[in-house]
Amino acid sequence: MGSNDGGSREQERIPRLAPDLDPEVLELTPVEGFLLSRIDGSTSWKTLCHIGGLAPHEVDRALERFEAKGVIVVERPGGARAAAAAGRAEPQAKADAAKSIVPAGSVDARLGISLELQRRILEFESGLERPYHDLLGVERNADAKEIKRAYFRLSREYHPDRYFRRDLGHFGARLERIFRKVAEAYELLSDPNTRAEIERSLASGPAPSGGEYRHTVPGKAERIGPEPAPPRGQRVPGRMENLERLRNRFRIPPKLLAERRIRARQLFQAARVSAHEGRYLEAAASMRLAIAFDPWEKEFKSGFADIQAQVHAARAEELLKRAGDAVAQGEALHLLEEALLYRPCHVETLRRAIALSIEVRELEKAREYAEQLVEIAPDVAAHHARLAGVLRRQGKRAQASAALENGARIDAKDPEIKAERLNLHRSRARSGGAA
Amino acid sequence: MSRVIGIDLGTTNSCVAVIDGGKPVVIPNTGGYKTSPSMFAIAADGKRLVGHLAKRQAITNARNTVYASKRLIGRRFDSAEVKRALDLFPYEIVEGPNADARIVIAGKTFSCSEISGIILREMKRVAEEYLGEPVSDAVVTVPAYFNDTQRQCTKDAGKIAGLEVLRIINEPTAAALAYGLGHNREEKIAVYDLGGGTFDISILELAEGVVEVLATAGNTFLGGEDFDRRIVEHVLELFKKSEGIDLSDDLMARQRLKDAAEKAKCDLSTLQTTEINLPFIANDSTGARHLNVEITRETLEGLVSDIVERTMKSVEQCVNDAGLDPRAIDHVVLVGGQTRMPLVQQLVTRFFGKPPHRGVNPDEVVAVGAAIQGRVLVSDERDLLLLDVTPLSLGIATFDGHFATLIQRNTTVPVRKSHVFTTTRDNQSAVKIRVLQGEAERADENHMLGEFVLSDIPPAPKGQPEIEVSFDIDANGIVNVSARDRSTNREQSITVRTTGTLSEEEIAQLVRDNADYELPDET
Repeated sequence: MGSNDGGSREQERIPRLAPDLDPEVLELTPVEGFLLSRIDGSTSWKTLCHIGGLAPHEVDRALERFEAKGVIVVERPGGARAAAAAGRAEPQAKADAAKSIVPAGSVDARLGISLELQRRILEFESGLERPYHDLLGVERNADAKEIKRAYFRLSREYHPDRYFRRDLGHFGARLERIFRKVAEAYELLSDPNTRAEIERSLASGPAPSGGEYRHTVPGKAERIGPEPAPPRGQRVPGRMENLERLRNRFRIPPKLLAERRIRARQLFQAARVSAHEGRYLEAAASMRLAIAFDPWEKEFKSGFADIQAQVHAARAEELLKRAGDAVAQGEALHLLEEALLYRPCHVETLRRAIALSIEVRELEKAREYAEQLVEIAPDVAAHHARLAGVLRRQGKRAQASAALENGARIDAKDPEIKAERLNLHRSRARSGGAA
Repeated sequence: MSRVIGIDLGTTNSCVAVIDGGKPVVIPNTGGYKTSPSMFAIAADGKRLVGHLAKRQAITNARNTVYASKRLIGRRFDSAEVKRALDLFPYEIVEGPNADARIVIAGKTFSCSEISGIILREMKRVAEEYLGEPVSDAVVTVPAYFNDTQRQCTKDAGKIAGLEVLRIINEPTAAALAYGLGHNREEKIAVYDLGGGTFDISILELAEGVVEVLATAGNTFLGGEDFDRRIVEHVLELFKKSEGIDLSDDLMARQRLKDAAEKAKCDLSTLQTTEINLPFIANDSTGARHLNVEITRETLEGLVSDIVERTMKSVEQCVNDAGLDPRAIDHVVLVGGQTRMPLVQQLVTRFFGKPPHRGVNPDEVVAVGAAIQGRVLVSDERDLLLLDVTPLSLGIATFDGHFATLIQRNTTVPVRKSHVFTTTRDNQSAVKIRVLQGEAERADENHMLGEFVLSDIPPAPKGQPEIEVSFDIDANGIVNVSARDRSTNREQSITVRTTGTLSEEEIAQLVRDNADYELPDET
């Protein structure tokens, strides 16, 4: 098991991702991939073992390799690095950092609750994603009474009302978060149906061959299976969603889960390549698969949104091109409008749509687009000039000159502003002459 | 630190208590009574009267005396409850600017929050007189079935009275707190509350200082006043038979008889026989007529037994809702003056198989509990924690007009729940989220708390976008609803501050107005 099994100081080591890290340079094993995804700069070695259900030596091996490759730096609490990293730390907090996995700098002696309680809150909160039984601190076979008692005990400690009218600082939100989760655990474990579901999942997700992924914490209930903890700050899911998540969480054996993660990562890479080469539909399909394989990775979701945006942009570009080739102006305008559906904020498309609308005498439409243009980029003088031009054509000269003034305030020398000022002047003179 | 008072703002009577020297004290008013009628009147000389003073002149000034306004608070003018009140109450009820019910007496219109505020102010004054120090914080009780609007109106009333309402708590919960039950071991408690105008039954569970509401039921139009009315009708009938005179349209006679009936009813809780004696109740060609009727406990029980039976039906339903057997209830607590009636105590004892708790006066038990909760909130001795629950389910309207519940009623707060919804049309770019409260299946039959729009959803086939709607209720009962488009992470949210029927400006104005009214009283 190595020398790291001993002192709590070693257990509290906090690995942190190195800056400018490129995980692609590593060929990750499933275990390493999982571990790497859990390193967030505040999770300690001990917690990594807990949440992964991994043997300590495995965690050690992986972390050593990461450290050797420069992927992570490991902080020893109380050590020079920790002190340097936590520059904001209160003196008291620093002194206590050694016996706590709490990120230094979070406790505050000025608040209306004791430092000890603050630490307890932070520590409890850091383990909020534990299995429900562990969260309540009850055995797997606890009866309804024990579960209720545990819920009441935790309520008395963490319910926000306990600290009514005290200065709680950021601990107020933490208490609410804790209590909500505790209440959720109580609710799900008190309902025989959901409890059976949870327990079945716990029972059916044991380690595969050789106990490779099994890790028993001395004196505590056995923890099985990795914990795809949603990133902190993500909302607590509703009951049905929760069940779904529980199913996912516990039915997939850890090894398979890790493999799925790797596969998801590969798909994500493939999607990037496809997107880069302009094959957007293919990219979106790969991305969807990646999300299906690893629904907990936030990066995939934002990547998916990016690709969707690119798909839309490409479609808009194509429509734009077709609009350019179109013979009939009506058809061209129609194509531009469709392009705007995909890319509503595209300045060039809007400009062309305005020009075309004016040509086909759809002045109301033109004004709508011109207003959008001004809204998107109100700091461009020429956009105001465009709007003024449309308004002038609609015969709304007062509004037109107001729009022109708005533009002139930004840049009076803008050629479009100058030209429009002349146009407006002429139009006024003409109508003045006619009247 | 100023002390927190506990106020039981009742339909017929109100009561105030405070923790003094570690012990709950029910504060007597100037007349020495520990409860004050929840009544407000404007006398012929324009003077404002509250409590006993208002009640004393109610007979001669029936049209300008407000009672039982708690029945109207936070309700829409067109609701069934208000319609019923229109028939029953002698004072004028009109529709307010926010479709709420308002009360007109002596040519002046009052909102129900204002009336409650006047009564709360009186209770505040009683407390300040007793304590000899100003009071600014209170815990006020409401029936367990009160919805958010009714609770908010009660909070507004506190504001108008110059009080900060730290918490609104449920009456049965307060009663359980007053008995100090459940401090050590786990106990299940039934609170049977038969007040002047309403009946509530609640099953609570207490353990290690934590109180949880398991179920509640009741009837908002059933109470001690119904007992009085039965006696009045009975006596009118007897008088008509013996004297040939129908007094039912004689407002003055009815009020006198009502008071006498209430007194007779109370007497019969300890005596077997009593008399109603009202000299000069009527006049005709033969001269003055006097009313003198003897009533026995047996007669009374015959008159009202169906009412008591009806309460027991609710009790049975509530115990079933809680998933319990009546024998599983460890304690039965009685609240409300009407529970002094031996018949009520007999039926309750028979149903639960054990006699109810005695010790705390049933008229005062709720105020005592409120004072205890107030003390628990602000003091450092926190050996008790009240787990508050949402009184009604919260959810949103679905496109087909149904109500999708996100947070079930009786869920402990603070709580957060979310659910994923999707679009119903291709390329739908926006969804409207309507936030509702209630238990009805159809969306429009529930109470709407607010609405907002999540826009700029990227074009996609229907059913594909994932819109996550989250409800968040904090410890103060403030509801926050947010909707997030999972693909873009775009988020829209609203904080639903349930409003009462008064606007902020109206409340501010009333706070100023009512502060003015204090001065002439003192000079």
